[in-house]
Amino acid sequence: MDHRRETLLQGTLDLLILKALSTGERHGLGVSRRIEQMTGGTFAVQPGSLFPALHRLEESGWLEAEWQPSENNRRAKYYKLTRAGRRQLGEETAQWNRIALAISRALGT
Amino acid sequence: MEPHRAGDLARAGDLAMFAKLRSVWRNLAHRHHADRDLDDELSALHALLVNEKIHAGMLPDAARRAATIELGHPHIVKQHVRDARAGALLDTLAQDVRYGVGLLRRNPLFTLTAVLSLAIGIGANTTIFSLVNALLLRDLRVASPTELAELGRITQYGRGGSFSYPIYRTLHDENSVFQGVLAMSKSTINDVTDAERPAAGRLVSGNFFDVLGVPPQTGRLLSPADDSAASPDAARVAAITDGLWQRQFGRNANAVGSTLRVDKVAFTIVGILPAYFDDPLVGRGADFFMPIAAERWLRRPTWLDKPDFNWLAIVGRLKPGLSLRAASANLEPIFEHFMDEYAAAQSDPDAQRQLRSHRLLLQSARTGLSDLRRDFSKPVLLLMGAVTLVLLIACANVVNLLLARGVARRREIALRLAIGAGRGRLVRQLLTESALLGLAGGAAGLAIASFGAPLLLALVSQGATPVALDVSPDDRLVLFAFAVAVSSSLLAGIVPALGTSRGNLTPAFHGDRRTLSVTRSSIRWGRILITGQIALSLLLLIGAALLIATLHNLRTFDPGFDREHVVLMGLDPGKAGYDGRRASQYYRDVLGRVRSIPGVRAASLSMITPISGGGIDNGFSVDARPSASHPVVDVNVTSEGFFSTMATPLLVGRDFVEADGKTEIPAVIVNDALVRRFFNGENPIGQRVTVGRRRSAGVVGVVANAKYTSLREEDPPTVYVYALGTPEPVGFTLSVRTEGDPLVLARIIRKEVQSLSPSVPVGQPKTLSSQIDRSLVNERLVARLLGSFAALALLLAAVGLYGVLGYSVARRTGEIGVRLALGATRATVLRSVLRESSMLTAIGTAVGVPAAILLSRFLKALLYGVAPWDPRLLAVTVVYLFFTAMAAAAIPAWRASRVDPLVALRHE
Repeated sequence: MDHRRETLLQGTLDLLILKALSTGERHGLGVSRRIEQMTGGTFAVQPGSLFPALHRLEESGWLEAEWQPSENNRRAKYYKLTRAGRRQLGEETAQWNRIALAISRALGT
Repeated sequence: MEPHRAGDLARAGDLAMFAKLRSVWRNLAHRHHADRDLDDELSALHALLVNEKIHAGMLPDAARRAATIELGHPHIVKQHVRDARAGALLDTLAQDVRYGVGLLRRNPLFTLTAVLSLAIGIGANTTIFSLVNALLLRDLRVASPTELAELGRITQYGRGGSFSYPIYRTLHDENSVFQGVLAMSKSTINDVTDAERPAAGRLVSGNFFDVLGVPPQTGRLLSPADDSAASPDAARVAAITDGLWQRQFGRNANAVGSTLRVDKVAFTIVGILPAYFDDPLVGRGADFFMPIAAERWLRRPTWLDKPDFNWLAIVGRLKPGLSLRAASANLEPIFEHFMDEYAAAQSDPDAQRQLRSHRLLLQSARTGLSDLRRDFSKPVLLLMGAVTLVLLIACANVVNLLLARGVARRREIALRLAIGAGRGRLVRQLLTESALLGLAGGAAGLAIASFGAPLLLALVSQGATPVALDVSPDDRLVLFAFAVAVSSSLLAGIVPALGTSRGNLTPAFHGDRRTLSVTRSSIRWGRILITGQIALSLLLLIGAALLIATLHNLRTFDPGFDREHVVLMGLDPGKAGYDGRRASQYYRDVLGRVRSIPGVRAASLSMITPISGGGIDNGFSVDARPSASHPVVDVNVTSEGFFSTMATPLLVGRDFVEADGKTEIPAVIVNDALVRRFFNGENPIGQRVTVGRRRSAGVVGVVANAKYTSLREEDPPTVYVYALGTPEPVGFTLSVRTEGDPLVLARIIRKEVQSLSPSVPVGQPKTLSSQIDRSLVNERLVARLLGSFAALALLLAAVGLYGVLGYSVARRTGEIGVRLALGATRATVLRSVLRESSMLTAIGTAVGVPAAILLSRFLKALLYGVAPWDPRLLAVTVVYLFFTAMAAAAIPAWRASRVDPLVALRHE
């Protein structure tokens, strides 16, 4: 496991969670692992910050959750994107890209 | 909480709003459920984590420890989750409110119309509810009102709540269930000589204020020592209310110790009640209170030693924890023993049986005694139903407004859906807007009620006795207005919100034509609502018409006497210490003097005057036809000239004459109904009859039937007994028929009568017609209020109709333009709009009339001489409705006919 753990930018966590769920439904640990995997281990999300974020996104109507059997044959709560969540992902991605482009331009010259 | 099943979520898109509502509910109300759900989620995650670590090669124990550390303290995680959820909820709510307020402020006309509609509906509801609250719901403001219990009894006449003083003494001395038990006179004494406005005094037992737990504001209140038969002089004390203190003494501290003259007897004011004090007789509150022992000063002969004179209400404070049932078990034997002993002293076996059949009844008195409640609760609850209809009509208007605006907001909504707002989120936003309208309407409604309730009370107070209810807003009233405001606005908001937020995005971004389907759906909704509004207003209109017709009938039908031009005043020579012989002479003098006054057509005395609400009944038998049953008839005791004063026709025989007081065989006069019942149509003149336990008497005349206690009763068999031969000094009412305005002559008559003997109290004159009008207080109240509510309802429905037609015309401008261009005349266009309005009204009428006939059974007890299906009445109301509908449709119709085809087509 990689030990370079970066602090997560405020606001990017939501984007990463939405992105992690864009390929299918996952439980909390699955989201956490998927984020690690997507970012090549750069970001590791602690449950302490992941859970509030998941619930906040559910409250905002971007995620919905249901209990399902997990891979170890226990139950786990699975999250998936709602239609609104998918749009939100699109919005935030576009915005992120604009910011990232702007910043890299600023830094590149 | 049950885990959600996969199947439920298949429809999750449609149910997004409900999922959201459920989530809010979980957070707010079912906190422990939400917590347990989160616990489950965390422990599931823990298990997954352990599993993962074991797979990675860790030992189970070490894996568990590592997982625990990685997850962090569950308590802290949970707290963060709760914060995040609550934050998200509040954020969106605050956002919705801000957005909603801004929107409402940008559309002032829409907002004003909606808020005004709701304010009228909520205001009417809150006004009536304030009466329901004061009359039926509010606890008495005394110490621990739940411990109070009122005594009543079931007699051959039904329920009664009055007892004699000897019964009270017996229950007071022998019961073992009350901490204290009080007695209070049910009627009040209003003859206060030096009060500027009439003040009402109540006789109460000395322990009255102790049992109620009311402390004095100033001075002292009454005590058992004031109420002792042994020292009647000590009983001439009074405690006065804050209201009387204000009115009579301007809150001057030296009121305590000063004198109050009641019926010419001086009472010393010993103290002042606190301002919050509630008389247990709700709505009939007295202004001052005197000990029962003072009755000896005010009434001769006294009733205190009469076991059969029932004039007191009895209220006890139960010992803590004692149930009504347990208390009854203790009180019943005491009461029955008393009645048994009293019955044993009677000679008439029927009277004995009846007395022994009385049963005691104990009920809670936490909201006060029930007399007024019996009179008013039915009409008030009926009116509550009526204002609910007004509110529904108001809500329908708001629905229409919201629907119309929903169409106007299609673009905005579509845009918000397109950028990812969930439908549930939008519905929440739209409902927040309606709730804002509701709250504004509720606040305005509460303001309306705070003006309306006292007005309403003034209307009720035109009855026999002023009604003093505290209708000032309290917590319950505010809560009621709030609940009505929120529920009605959500009710009005839900359909438009669901409709407005519905999917299909693309058409909204294209031209107007594509939105036509949406427009049509909202116009269709509008039409359905209008039909409903018209039906509901018709309900109220027909109800009001029925009551107005009833009032008219009751005021104009012939009750067997002529109610105009008669003035009444009470005389009581007994109070001046006259014996029977002197009283008779006094009455002779009065009649002689009054009959000689110019403008007096007839004058007479009687114990009972028509429709005073009181009456005497007594056993009656024809001596020649003894009967096993013991029929009871109405009895009146009158002088000669009573029938000419009342203008009741004499059918056979003669009126009383002065000599009837001195004959061996007393004379009586009977009415037609009595002849039919007892004489089988034979001539009764000269027959011997017995009234009660009086001497056998001879019938000298027959008069036409006349109503006796109530206008609504069947013609009562009545016997008239000659007045001026009684050994006891009885109080009579002087009735005078005058030529002109009876009240003008009344002053002269009263002066003349007073000059005959200044010591005999002469009551305030009142007209017979006003006495009869007082008996119609319920009918008048309901008629006036139903009338006003019907007018409000009609106004709201007309506004609704105007709105829907106007909107429909505006949307159809293009179509109308095409039709005009193709040769339709303006008259045709005008007619088409008016036809639409007539259609809607006709459908509403078709629904409303049968519904009104069905619902009129709630009014049945109040109606007189009119049936709900009376075609004339229905025709009048329906014509009225159509006229209003046409007036509402006129402007949209005119506007449609003025459409310029060129402009309309270019606009297309």
